[in-house]
Amino acid sequence: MSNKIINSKVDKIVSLKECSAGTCVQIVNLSKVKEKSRLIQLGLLEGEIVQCLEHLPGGTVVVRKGRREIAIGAKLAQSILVKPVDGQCNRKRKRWKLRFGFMKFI
Amino acid sequence: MKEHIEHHKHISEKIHKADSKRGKIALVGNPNVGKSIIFNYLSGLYMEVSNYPGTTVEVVKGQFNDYEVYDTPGVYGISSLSVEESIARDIVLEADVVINVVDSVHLERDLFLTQQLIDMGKKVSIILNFQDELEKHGIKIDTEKLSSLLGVPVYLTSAVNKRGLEQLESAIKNASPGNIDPELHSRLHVMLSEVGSQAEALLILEGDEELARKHGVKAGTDRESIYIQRRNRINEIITEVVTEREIKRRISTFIGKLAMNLWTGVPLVIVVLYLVYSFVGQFIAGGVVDYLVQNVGKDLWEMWIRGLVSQFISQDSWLGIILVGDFGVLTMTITYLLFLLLPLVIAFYLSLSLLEDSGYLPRLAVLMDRSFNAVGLNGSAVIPIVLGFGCVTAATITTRILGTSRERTIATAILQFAIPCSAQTGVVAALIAGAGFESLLIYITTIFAVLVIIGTALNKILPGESSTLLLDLPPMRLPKLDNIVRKTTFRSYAFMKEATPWFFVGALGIGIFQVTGILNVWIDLLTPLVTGWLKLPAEASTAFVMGLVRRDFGAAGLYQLKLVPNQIVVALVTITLFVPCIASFMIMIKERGLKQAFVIWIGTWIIAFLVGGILSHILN
Repeated sequence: MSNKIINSKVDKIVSLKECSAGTCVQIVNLSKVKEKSRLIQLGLLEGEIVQCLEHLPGGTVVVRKGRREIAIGAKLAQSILVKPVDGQCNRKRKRWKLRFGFMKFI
Repeated sequence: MKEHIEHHKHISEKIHKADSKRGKIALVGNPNVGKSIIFNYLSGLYMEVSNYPGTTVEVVKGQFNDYEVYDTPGVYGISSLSVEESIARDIVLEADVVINVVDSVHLERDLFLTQQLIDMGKKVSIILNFQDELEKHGIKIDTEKLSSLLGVPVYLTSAVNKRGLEQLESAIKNASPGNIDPELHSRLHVMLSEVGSQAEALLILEGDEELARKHGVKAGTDRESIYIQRRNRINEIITEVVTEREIKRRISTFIGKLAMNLWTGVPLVIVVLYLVYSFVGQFIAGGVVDYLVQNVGKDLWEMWIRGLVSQFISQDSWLGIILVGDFGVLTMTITYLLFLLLPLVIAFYLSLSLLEDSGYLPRLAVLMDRSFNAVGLNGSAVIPIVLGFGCVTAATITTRILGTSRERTIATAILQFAIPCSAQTGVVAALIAGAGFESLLIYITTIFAVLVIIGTALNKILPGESSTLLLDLPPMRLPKLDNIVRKTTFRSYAFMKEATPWFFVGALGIGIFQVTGILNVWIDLLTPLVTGWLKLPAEASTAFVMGLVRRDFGAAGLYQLKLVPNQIVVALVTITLFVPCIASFMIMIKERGLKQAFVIWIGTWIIAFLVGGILSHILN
């Protein structure tokens, strides 16, 4: 029972819309996405890891992939399923948090 | 003599036709990779700008040695997902050599298109541009390995600094077909036997309906799997050839982030808008234009031309009125065109080019995305809307970039109803400045309310669903001066070329109306509405009649009236909401169809006088 809870916490699958700024996520499922070809052209495939850079109140999300920033509207972000990951982006996240942490309180 | 010239033309056309067997080079690449600089280098000063058949997307053609060079719109891939992509597709299909311009900092994004061009079996050479930025970003690219993996030659350049461009000649000469994934290759062979061209075979496999119909075969359903395979192959290549060193984030990235954060982005928009307003609205419209119109236009030019013309024609004769009267073709039109419109348009396009080239505009699109959702648009609509503040006509054309027909309708309606164009904004700014801050607030609130109501209503009424934002953000960069100057000049010239004849037609029309007395009939018809309902002086009717021709023309007509602040607000609100100018009406018919254009046109009459009147009654 308790084991299950821990597992679901680690592999929690959410939509990209729900990711919080600064975290890293792996794209796990694009089957609900309508214009999949466009995402693939831009390099957003299942299995890719992106950093959620900005999360605007309306649900518009900006992700960083490599050196690029890609903006994704709320509805599309909703249909992209991701799971949080630790690792590569982790260091960057901490740095960003340190620098921008104060904005959360404004 | 005339015959002689025509004869020559005929011959040269024939030569041209015979020459069309000459090699064709297509310059292909993602948006913002520096293609245009490379194109200019190749073709020199000579180029032909033409609209692509059936669209308003411009295609530029030039010459290099024995080749015809075509510039293509920036695309992320070749397909028929958008107008730009279809055009790029057609040009690539025709080309003998493809010069693929690649942003070396964003290799991972750009090589997808590269591999697709290679899979099409085209002779390709790669220009790795932005060599100078590699160092700054701490990136190293093994170009030899990249070249051998892709099977095509690779050249490093830095187009902005004109470095490495001399290699273009060998790039064209050495272009060769590249390496294709063996599995895809065998799939291609089956289709190839049916259609005869590898490029078309690939696109059909990738589901291009148009090409499939042309060859009478069924379009493939494997687009996704081919795309995924291609993407994976590129990712493998990237890990082989690119080494990155962790580097401190640059200040530009930081500003880019600030622009997209709600708490910092909104104040930033206000600052940016204020700067643009101070420059265009106060400095240019208030200072420069005021001085030019009064001191140069009215006191120097109009005096001089009146004096000159009155030596031959009486100023009170009908011809005199048409030529040098209050609305004269040689007096008012010249003054408005050269001393009012031209400085405003240059100032506006200068600001726009700066916003665009710095990478700020797309970030504004991100920030505004949610608000645009409320009226059934997404953030990309910020581009036609902001452009609309320059010229509604041009902006109506750019509504094509929007994903669905319903978005194009909504954006067009908002543009035609509620967005004042640059010349109009200039006049509005100048008049409002005289009426005080409260008037400005009332004006903005009213126009904004109308915009929201129209957008929301259309979003509710129109069937279907709007598309969502998906935008690859260009990096924040310090704009290059020569690029800004080039863009501003090009756009201002295009605008003036389009506006000038309409100003003359308008002035001529008004002049004829004045001479024949029709103007008075019109004014008499509108006067009860203008004086009774809007509570404006009777002369304001003239401005509205002028506004039928061009909106800025109408707003400029208000310039000469003596109005109290409340009247200024009412007049400006009405003229802003009033019918679009003739040019933009024509474009609207072309873009959205006769029926929709007329509905919008009639709608502007009703809304303009309705809102203006209500406002007038509230204020008084």
